[in-house]
Amino acid sequence: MGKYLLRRILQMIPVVLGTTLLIYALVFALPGDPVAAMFGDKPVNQAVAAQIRSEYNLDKPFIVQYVLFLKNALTLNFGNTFAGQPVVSVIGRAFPVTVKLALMAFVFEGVFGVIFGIIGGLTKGKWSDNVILVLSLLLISVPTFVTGFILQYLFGVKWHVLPATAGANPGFMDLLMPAVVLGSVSMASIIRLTRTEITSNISEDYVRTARAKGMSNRQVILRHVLRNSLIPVVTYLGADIGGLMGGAMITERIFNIQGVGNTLFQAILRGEGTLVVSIVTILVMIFVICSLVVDMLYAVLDPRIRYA
Amino acid sequence: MKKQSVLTIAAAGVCSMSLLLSACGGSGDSAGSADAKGGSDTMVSVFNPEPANPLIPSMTNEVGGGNPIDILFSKLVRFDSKGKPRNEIAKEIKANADNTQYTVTIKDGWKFSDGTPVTSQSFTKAWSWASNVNNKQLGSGFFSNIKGYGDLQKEGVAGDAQLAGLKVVDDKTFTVDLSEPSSTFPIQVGYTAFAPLPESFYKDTKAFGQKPVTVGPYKFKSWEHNKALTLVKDTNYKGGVVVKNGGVEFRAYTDPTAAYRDVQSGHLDVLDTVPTSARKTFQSDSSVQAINEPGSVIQMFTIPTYMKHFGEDQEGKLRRRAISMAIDRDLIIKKVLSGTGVEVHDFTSPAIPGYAKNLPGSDVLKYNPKKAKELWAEADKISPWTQADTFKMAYNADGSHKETYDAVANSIKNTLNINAAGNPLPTFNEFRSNVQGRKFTDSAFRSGWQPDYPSPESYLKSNFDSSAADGNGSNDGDYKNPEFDQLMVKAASAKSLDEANKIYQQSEEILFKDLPAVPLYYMNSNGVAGKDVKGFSFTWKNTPDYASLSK
Amino acid sequence: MRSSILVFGMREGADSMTDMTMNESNELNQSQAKVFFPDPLPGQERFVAPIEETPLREVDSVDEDVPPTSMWADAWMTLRHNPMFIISTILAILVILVALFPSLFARQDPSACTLANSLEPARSGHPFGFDLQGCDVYSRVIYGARTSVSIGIMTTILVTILGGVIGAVAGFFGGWIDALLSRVTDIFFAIPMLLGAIVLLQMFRTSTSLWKIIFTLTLFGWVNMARITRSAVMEAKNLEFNTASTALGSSPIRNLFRHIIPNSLAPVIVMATTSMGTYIVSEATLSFLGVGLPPTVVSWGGDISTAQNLLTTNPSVLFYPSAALAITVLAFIMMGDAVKDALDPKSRTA
Repeated sequence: MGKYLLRRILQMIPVVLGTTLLIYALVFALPGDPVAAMFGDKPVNQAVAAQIRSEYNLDKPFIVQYVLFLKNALTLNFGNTFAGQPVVSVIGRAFPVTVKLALMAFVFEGVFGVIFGIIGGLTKGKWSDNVILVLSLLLISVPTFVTGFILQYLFGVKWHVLPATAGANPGFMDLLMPAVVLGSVSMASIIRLTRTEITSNISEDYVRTARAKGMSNRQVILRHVLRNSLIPVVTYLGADIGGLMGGAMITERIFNIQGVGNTLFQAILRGEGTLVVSIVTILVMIFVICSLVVDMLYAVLDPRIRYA
Repeated sequence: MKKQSVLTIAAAGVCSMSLLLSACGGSGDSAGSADAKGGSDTMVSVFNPEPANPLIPSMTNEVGGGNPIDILFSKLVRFDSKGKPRNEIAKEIKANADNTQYTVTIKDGWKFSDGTPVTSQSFTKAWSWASNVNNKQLGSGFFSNIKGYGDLQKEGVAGDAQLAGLKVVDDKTFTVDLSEPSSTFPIQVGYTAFAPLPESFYKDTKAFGQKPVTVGPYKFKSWEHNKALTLVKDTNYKGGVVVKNGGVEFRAYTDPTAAYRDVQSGHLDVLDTVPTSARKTFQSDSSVQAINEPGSVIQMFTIPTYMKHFGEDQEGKLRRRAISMAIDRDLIIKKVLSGTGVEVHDFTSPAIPGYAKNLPGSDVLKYNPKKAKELWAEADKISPWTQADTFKMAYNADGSHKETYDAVANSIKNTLNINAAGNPLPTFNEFRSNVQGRKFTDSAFRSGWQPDYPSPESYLKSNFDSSAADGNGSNDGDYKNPEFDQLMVKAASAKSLDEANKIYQQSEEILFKDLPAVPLYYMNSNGVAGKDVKGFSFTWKNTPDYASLSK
Repeated sequence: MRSSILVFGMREGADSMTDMTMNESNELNQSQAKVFFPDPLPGQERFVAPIEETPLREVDSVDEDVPPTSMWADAWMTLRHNPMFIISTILAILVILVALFPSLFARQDPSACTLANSLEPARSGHPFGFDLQGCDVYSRVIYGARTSVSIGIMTTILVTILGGVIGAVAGFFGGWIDALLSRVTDIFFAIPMLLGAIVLLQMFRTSTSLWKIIFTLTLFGWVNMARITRSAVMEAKNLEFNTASTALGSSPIRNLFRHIIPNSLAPVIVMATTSMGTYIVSEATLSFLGVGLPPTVVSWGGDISTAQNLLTTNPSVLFYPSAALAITVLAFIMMGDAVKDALDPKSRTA
């Protein structure tokens, strides 16, 4: 097991290298000249533009840029953004709030998704199942901006229950609404996955056995059915946590959260290679760790799955 | 021609400020009476995009940094709320006979926020530093008309090299030699890039960019990146701006819709733009106070002369006019913009002296489907426009232009019975690169203009003069008409402002015939403020009058 | 015998039984069986039909009178009688019909827009009213079906195939193959779709082909599917029927395709059907960002995103394309559920 873990952690090295190369290449291939755009709608001072390009190594061939980036990254020097701020401090500001938001959304979608899924699965075909089907359908087909807007308007503007936007140093209450909006997108998939697994597992023979042994319904569901139903859900959740961090752009915009999604989005629009690569590298490490955790959970949930 | 080109570059450089200049005019005309202590001491919070650059005046060319910098740094002159220049730090700016040399004297007693006095060198060194190519200032072009600018733009120039055209006479006097005559120099020095800088700036420019030492109605307090930039009233301020609040907190927002919600719920005081989603409702919204008044921005789209079927020949002229007359601007303003714009009558704006509503030839900006069809058919006789051709209008999708251009496209399509469509490009980077690289050979492109000073010159010369074409200025459509150029020269040497404005109006008559760009509408200054905010008003530059805000 | 059936189908969930071999659990169950099936007390006797009336066979013997049916045929038998399947199929066919022949359902040209009609309410001939540009909302919903449904269905199919194969291979073979494929998946997870899409789609800027969107969405959509399939395959490959199949001389590949994949389909179908709506909306996002289809192409997603700004004043403009999207997604979710149930003999509804 220890060996397996070590191997998985070592795999991170090629993954990070591959990601940085790929992302760097993509940013390099972005159409448009970021330096020229700094001058806005106005003519470009070519002499100054040339100086700026050389400051950010933008005048060098792609592979040289990449090697320079790697070399600097090894000494933990990620350079500055076009706005003259260290990339490290930009990331340092964006990640904490996003991690908070992502975890809250994660807990929300995980807990409610599984609960609704169980209810739907256990009452298959009954009205409660149908209500939950409609709920998940709504979550799928109502765009985030609508859910965000409606919650923001009702709770923030009309009733003054929660702050309309997250503000500068958001706490739990500030992030509650954004987390619900963010989490509700993936919740539909979790509900459906849980429900499906529950319906198929509930008629398994071991359930009958467990019932026959005299276990209470609750125990049967929680200890046997749910445990056997969780593998796809855990897989989905594990993959989602990275998505919640990097892809929360719309939610972050609605609630004015200066987090990773927005920083990444702006950096892509501006063509800021180092910032994009640095953020994505952190995201990919989160993904690798999450998939490791998920794989470990498989073994816990289903002991027949073993890793050598 | 040559003589003029440098001047135009200077003017174009000046115009780079276009997006950011806000006059610091307080209660307008109460010049001199530095009644900075009046009013309440409450903080007001305002919407602001996170500054894109360090807080260095010559580095700033967008609103996010421009708004705070403008009230942090006083310049030689300031503009009142009507856009009229008034001496601020300058006691006098005196021109020689042919407008090639200016002698500047500054007032006594001005001090930076670190206590050091403002001297002639505060200006000359700052301007030289900004002109130095090694310092990579986005605003270096502002100084291009000062003698010696070219030397400082060469590679390998010494770090402390000074502009040859700047000579310090004494602590309070310096002279400026210009490469080309300029009557607008005394106005140009009111732009942010011309702000004085203290000695401490040169010791650590990086630190300064994060925590500037200032000389203005406000001083720097704190900057939490992506959260808020806080300025407080500078009680030592000596200028003419009347500050009615204790300070301004520029809150960082990425989306004005979020800011609108905050104004509605009382968490933000002022939002100086109206999100598209609130266009229809903001004026009737009882939870905010709204302003929607004519501003100085004109929205157009340029049909480049290098675009197929739209060259500077007879066919091109016919087609341009047909396109312009095919657009039902009134209806677009009413339905799509919900009245946040005003119908266009020329190439400047109603907020500018010299504006005239009914210039001969301005009919071409009126919706006239019958005439449009005739003109188009006539052009088709010269060279046919096929069913496979589409009239495209490019814009950057990361702005909010889709609705307008969809409506314009539909209007053209319905009137002329041709294919017309918006042509969104994903990023501003790509959009500008295509414009600068002259890649729009089959597409018109969005162009808007915010003037730097209240004169038609600021609109006309930068956008349509030959010397601003071919990448030397903002004439991105490479429009060239010697007749027009001559009028520009004539206007610049006119004896009075009225006379000049008359000549500018004549030049517009040429533009109506050639239509290098198709004006769409004048954009309004609009925004919302909390119910409890007092003194909410806009300057002629479309930014809130920050100093007059209070609660 | 009864107890042996129990054991055969049992999975390792009952933790108390986790480490039992088949033998041990056999004994246990037999002993339990005695407890649970004591001799009937008076009054508890049951009716047993005479052997002549119901031809009794040996337990677990196969009825050879009828031709053997495949898993798919069995599923079809079940599906034909499932009302949910019938309703959802009718809905789906309707949606596809609209997508194929929009002109049958709407007379108006969806891109004939007159600004004078901007946001006019419904009137005769225009049942859903007009949008901001004065286009007929009804005909836009009808004509938008082609773009949106094609993108939704094709992307779902491609994602399921690509993600399914990669996930199945990774989960089935494990080891370095899994390591390689899973890490590639991780990398793809981390690539921001916006970045990839701008770079990829700039090459096809002027093309109005839906395929550029479908391929782009597939390229960034398969990863979730791969993860889910991998987990399902990893779970299924350890089930006893594989051991049984292998014992009968089946090759691993045959096992994979004949037993493991069919048994892993449930979560895959759920993922596929719930993601379909996401793909339809993603098309809009791409177009909104200026990298997708030109603004002249009508689609639900596009209309939803442009109607975004009208949410406060004219929500109906937003409502109709969203409702069309919801109905389509509903049809496919229900259909997926029915198919999934039919394929899984254990979860067939009685």
